[in-house]
Amino acid sequence: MKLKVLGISNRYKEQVLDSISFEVDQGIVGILGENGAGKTTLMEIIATLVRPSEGKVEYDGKNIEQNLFSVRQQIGYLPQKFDFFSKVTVEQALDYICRLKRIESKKERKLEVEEKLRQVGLIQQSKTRFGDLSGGMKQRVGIAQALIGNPSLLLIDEPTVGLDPQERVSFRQLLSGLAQDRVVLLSTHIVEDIAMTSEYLLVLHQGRVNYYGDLSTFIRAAEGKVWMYRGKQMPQALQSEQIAMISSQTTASGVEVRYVADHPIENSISIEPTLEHAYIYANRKQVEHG
Amino acid sequence: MVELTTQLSFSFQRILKQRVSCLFILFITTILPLFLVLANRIDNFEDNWLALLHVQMILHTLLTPVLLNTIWSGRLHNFEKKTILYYLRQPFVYFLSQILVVWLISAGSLIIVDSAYWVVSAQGASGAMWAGTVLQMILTTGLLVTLTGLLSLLLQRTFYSILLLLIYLLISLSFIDRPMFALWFSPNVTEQMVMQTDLVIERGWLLIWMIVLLVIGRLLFLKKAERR
Repeated sequence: MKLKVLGISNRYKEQVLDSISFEVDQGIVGILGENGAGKTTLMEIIATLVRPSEGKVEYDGKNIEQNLFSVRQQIGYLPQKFDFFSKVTVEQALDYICRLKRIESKKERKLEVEEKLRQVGLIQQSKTRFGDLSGGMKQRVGIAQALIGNPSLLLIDEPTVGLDPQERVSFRQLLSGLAQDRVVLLSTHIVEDIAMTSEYLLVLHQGRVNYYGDLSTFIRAAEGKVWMYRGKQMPQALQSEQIAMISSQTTASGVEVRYVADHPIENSISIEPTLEHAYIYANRKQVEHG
Repeated sequence: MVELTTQLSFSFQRILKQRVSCLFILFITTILPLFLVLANRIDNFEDNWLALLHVQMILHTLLTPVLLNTIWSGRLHNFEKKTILYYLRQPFVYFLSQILVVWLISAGSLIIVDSAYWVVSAQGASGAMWAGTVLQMILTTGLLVTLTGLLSLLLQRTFYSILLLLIYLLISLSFIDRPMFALWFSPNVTEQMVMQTDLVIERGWLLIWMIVLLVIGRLLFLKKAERR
């Protein structure tokens, strides 16, 4: 699917999104932004749940106003904090979603449910009631329901929130395998989610696009801007507004501090930036330049 | 039509998941009144029959919100909007199917239990009486379920409708003797409502009220379900 987001703005009491534009036709696009940056609103607009105040979204050239239901049949959507009726079993829930997505034949539905359950690693839990699943398993059911009907656009909103570290890792592995022949938009405020899954990155900051492009270019922009200080104690210079501290830890010989800055302080060496460093650098630059 | 059958079967599946609560409610509203009437040892079948109908209808009025609450709490959850209504061309079908399933179970259980009692005990009683009673059951339970559904949308909680239905029932029993407006009748009027053809036909107005309630319910439901 070729997804075109054209000048989307949205106001709800205050400006949530401001002139968002991007295009994508395959692969996983990670949408990264702080809480309140407008990620969920953007996902809901692309999912056709919310009308934008300005701009439009095109799905293979189709506008939703004339094609709402045919577009929705091509979208798989995992909303934030996926939930379902607690007493319904996983298999029954997915069978119902199959029927909602117009898979009428019972045999086809059975095959589809089995295939998706295998894909998300829940085949053993097919007879388990939804309410008895762990948080990570519920999210997997959420992914399975989104995958039913093989949608060409998959929207996944904050999928790892509330999961324990092990569930997060296995959920990221699951996401990595979903991008063949489709567009996946993954919205999150957790940098590792994107670092481990996405090829493209859209950084939202205060409702605006701060960056859109491939991950490596974004990371390269922070080269020579990330530093590591080693010393006996925390230097006063690190309190400067020109410096964004990333991490600090006490070592046997003193302290070790990683930070982002245009120029290093004494006793610092340049280190290779990661996505997290680049993200902090990009947002800091955005704040400085307004 | 495909959407309606899908939603009906899923609503039915969901209510079956609550079968302990449902069977308890149906026992209280249909079978318990039968035991109570039989315990009175009245020899006249027609008196027993009308007393049974009367008690059943009053208990149904009070427990229909509890039965509907097993599948519809009165609030549309986020996941219902984003994963179910999302794929429906006519989202109201989702709500309508829950009303229809509760109506079907409610009226169906009454008809089955009372017809069994009729077959066993009604020696020589007029078949018109059975037909009149069944019609009253279908229409009254239909009005009860649609009214409960509308009140649940207005009050955001299905349970809260019990109080308003109770008030309506008390007013109906005490002051309203017109079949087209009353929820149910005083014991003296019940016999006329079952036996007199013109009053049975007048009771048919309930169908119109049900349609009106569903039209208003549709507007309220769609307001909750619509795209922002």
